[in-house]
Amino acid sequence: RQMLPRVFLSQPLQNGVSRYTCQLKRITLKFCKFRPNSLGAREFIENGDFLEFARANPQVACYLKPRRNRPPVLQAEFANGSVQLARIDSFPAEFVRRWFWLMRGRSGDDLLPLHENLRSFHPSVQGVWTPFTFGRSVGLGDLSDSRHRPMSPSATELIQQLHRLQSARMS
Amino acid sequence: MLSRLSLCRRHPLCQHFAAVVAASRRPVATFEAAPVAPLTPPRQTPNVMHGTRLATDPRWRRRMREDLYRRRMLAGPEPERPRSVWSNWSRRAELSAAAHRLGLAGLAGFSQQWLDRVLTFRESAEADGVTADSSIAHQNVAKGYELDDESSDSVAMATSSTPAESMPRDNAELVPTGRALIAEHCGRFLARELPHVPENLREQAVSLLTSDQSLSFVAGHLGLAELLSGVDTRPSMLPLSVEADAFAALVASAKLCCPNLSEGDEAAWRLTRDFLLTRLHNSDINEWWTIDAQRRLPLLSESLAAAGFPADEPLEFRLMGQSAPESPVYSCFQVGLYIRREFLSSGFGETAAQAQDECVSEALKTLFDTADSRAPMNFKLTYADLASALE
Repeated sequence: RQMLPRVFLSQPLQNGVSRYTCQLKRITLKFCKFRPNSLGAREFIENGDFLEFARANPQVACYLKPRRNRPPVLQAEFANGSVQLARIDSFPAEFVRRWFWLMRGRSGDDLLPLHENLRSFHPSVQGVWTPFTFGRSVGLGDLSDSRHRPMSPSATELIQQLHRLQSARMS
Repeated sequence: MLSRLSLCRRHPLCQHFAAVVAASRRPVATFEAAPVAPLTPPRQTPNVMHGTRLATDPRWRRRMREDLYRRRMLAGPEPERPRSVWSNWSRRAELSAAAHRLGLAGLAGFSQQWLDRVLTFRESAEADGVTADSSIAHQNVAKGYELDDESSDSVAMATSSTPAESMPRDNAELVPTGRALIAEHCGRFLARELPHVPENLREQAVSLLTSDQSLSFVAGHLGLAELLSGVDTRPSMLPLSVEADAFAALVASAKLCCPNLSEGDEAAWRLTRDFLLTRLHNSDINEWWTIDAQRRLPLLSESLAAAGFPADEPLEFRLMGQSAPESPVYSCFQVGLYIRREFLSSGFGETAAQAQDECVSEALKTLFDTADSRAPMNFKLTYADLASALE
């Protein structure tokens, strides 16, 4: 069983940092002139919604492609080269309209789950943590109750050992 | 005791019946000279349908799907074709959309015809093997692809103030102008944003930014690759330098098409800034140049001298702290760099040597102002700000 891979948040060509470019290059509405499952697509065209979309988005090249005996499909091509197909079989005209405007806002990246809802290439501006970041003079490995002790005992420990031996001998 | 079934089978009528059935199954002799190829291919094709059983499909349909898939894989991939051969393509519409997408539609003196010429490469014998006789249009016709017929368009191209005679036939003169313009923009921007970084390191960054790979990446994402004419726009046949030249020609055209000089400068600068220089955003600027390992300490001394510290002052590396020094995994050494008893930078590592190297890198970053904590670059600069920075 395969799971969907996770991706990191990204924008093609750092879109939006300096200027926003609509990533949708061209959109093609393929429909049948006769079959009933293309009724919504035909109404979308006849109501003038298609022209309204084309006029409102001069940066998108809009095409109509009548195809006999085929179900209606929306093909959107994006600036990063990806092509997305939306099957609008028996959709009402309003839904077709919403799909058009949805494609206009997409970047063309695959719809995959994100690792995180943010991404930064500077994970820390304060610096990476070390055992000495907050002014500690000893590291974690030097504490007496640590499992990661140095192999040779410190001078204090030697004296403490001597004291214990001495008191054991005395008593 | 023999069963009744076996007795039945040995009966002459049953055996005759079995013989008739066997005879009907034997292949009939054919008079074909060449052997007939088997319907199912040999088992070398990978069984990619394993584990993809549709529970709702009956067994015969599953096997049919697998067979069809195997045949499709054997037939090989689709031939690579330029986007313009499909019926949903109109060069006029695509150029108009590109002009709006790039923000050039509002410029005075800009038209679709101008953009068409900007993206037209001269068909010359020297240019990547495309000869005048074997132009791409003719090749496409020979393969049965239809030419994009512009004569049927009833809507005329937008007229521009630039008359048709003065428009260049192709972008041959625009390309070198554009390349120089882009390099100048990048150099000026980095000089303004990274004033403390030495010149040679900034030049490394500029050469990476203006390399063919970088420019063609930008051109591809702007959708220019499909709009080129005079070259084969199939992705496998289109060299990186051609795409890079297309973007360079675009930048030059944005400057030259405007009658107003400042408007043209600003338009060209914005193209470079918004699409090319933003590649520096969200990336470690120190990755855009390389300093040799043996060059680091001399560079540090030079930078310190430039920052005002005299050259004879020795650099002191001091062990600031160590934790679990004998442990091969948990050891942490912190080394500090002091000059004239002043703290300059610190670094940490698994060994003292690593910590020292890190210390030097951090010191260089502090002196060059390229640390993680520096302010982000300003991608809203106008051309006027850029020009004034140098004065």
